[in-house]
Amino acid sequence: MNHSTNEPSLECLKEKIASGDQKAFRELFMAYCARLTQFAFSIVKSRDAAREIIDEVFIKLWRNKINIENIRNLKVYLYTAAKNTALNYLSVNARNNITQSFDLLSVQLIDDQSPERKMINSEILNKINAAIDNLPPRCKMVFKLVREDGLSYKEVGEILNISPKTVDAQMVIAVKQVSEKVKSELDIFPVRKIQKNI
Amino acid sequence: MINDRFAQLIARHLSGETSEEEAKELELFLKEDPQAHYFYEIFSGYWSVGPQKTVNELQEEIHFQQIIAIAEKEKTDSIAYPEMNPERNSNKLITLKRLLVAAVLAGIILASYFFIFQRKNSPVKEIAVNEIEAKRGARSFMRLPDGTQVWLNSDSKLEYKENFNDNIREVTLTGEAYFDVVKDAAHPFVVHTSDIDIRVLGTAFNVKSYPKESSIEATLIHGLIEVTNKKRPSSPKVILHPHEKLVFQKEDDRQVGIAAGQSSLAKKPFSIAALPKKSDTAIVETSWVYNKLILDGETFKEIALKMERWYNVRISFKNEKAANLRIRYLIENETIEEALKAIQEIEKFKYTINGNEIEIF
Repeated sequence: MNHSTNEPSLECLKEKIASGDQKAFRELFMAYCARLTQFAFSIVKSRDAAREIIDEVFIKLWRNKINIENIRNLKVYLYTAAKNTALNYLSVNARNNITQSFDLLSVQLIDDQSPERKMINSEILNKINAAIDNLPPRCKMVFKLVREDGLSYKEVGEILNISPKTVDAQMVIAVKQVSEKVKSELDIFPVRKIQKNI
Repeated sequence: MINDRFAQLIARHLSGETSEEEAKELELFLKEDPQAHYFYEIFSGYWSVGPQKTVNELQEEIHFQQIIAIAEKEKTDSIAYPEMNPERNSNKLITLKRLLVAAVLAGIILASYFFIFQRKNSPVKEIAVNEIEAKRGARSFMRLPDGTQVWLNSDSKLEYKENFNDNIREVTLTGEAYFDVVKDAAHPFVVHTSDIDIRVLGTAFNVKSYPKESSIEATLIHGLIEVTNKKRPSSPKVILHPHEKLVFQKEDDRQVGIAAGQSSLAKKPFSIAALPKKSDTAIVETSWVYNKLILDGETFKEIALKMERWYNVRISFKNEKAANLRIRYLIENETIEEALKAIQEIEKFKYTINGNEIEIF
């Protein structure tokens, strides 16, 4: 299951945060800060800027915590706020063309070289990484949010201002691209010899 | 090669978006197309193993306190956001300098947190290795920490580290074992033998890798396995399908010497055979798991090797004719004597039993 089951219950947290519960706010911060920073980084490509951006998101949230219960979906809000702040950082005019901007961006994904992958041999891993890296920017962003951040198609749609159907279509493109690049690995089939028992 | 619908189902399934029907549809796709199945295994392996991030808890805590400090200090600057509409955010970014100022202010508060959150480094432990052994003449059964069932045949040993469940589920096998592996795409299951590594993409398979034998065998019952030649890691990997058996000829120094010349063995150490479709209990290679020893037309001499392990005896031949007898027999609960007597009905020979030593003449 992609949706993380150890995410704090957002409804419960919202209530507590609204009434000024710092512990609850810390829980939210700890759960999302790293992911959101990575998300911001994928847009602005600077670690320092990404950190400032996410700091701003959380600071604003805490300052206006009284109104937090007006937010329908806290997770989507956080990602959307991060996205907007990041795009604003890049260009003042980006505000007007939020979805289009992704076509001009080069999206930076996490560099996946973790040793845990050693049984997917490094050749295949490199091919998969290369395939993902070469996806068109919007497709790449969709893939990143679904896989790395564990967001649902619906949530991704809300954050990026596209329909879930579009998200689905982008995922199909991504999977097909990977399968194309990995194709040669799948063509290794054993030579079949039927041996008779004496 | 991968059609749109299949790609769609894979993406949905890995993201947790498939309905029950769609999940079944995907299962069907995978069953009918082993190549697609293999792709799915690779891709889902890639998907589920997310990058591990080490979080410095103390730093995160300091970071959090900074956020709070700034948020509370500049309350007078705040603009009301009645709907919390993110489109209305201002462009103003809080500069690094302000963060530093806030940090100094927060310093006093932080001092107390520092002591609470400081952790002593725990000493790095050596990872213990667990070992299960089946002595000659015995078989044993065990469960690995993840629930995988392993049957060990006589004279076999299985090793695994204590951190078995951490990343890759790895075991090292000397001898013969039958594995029924619990499926977990996020944690590949690997069997290491002296010369080949077997990565499990499916569930049930048998591996025979005795040091004294010249070949290593892997037989697959369910699922898919991928075999890598440890001594030649760049050569193509072999994928086995259900009811296929792979025989790997170990390269010894002699063979490598010959390789310069002509030996096809050195170039193609793997050979695959398709097993006749029988039920699991009737397949020769895995009958031992069900406590049966199937002798399927090999010579008495070849069978003696199996019987030696089964009964923990030593068999020597003084009778050439008997040694070359071809025997078809099923050993279930017989003692060694009963088995020998039964074989005597096929061809005349004599034997003596001296403790564990048996002589055929």
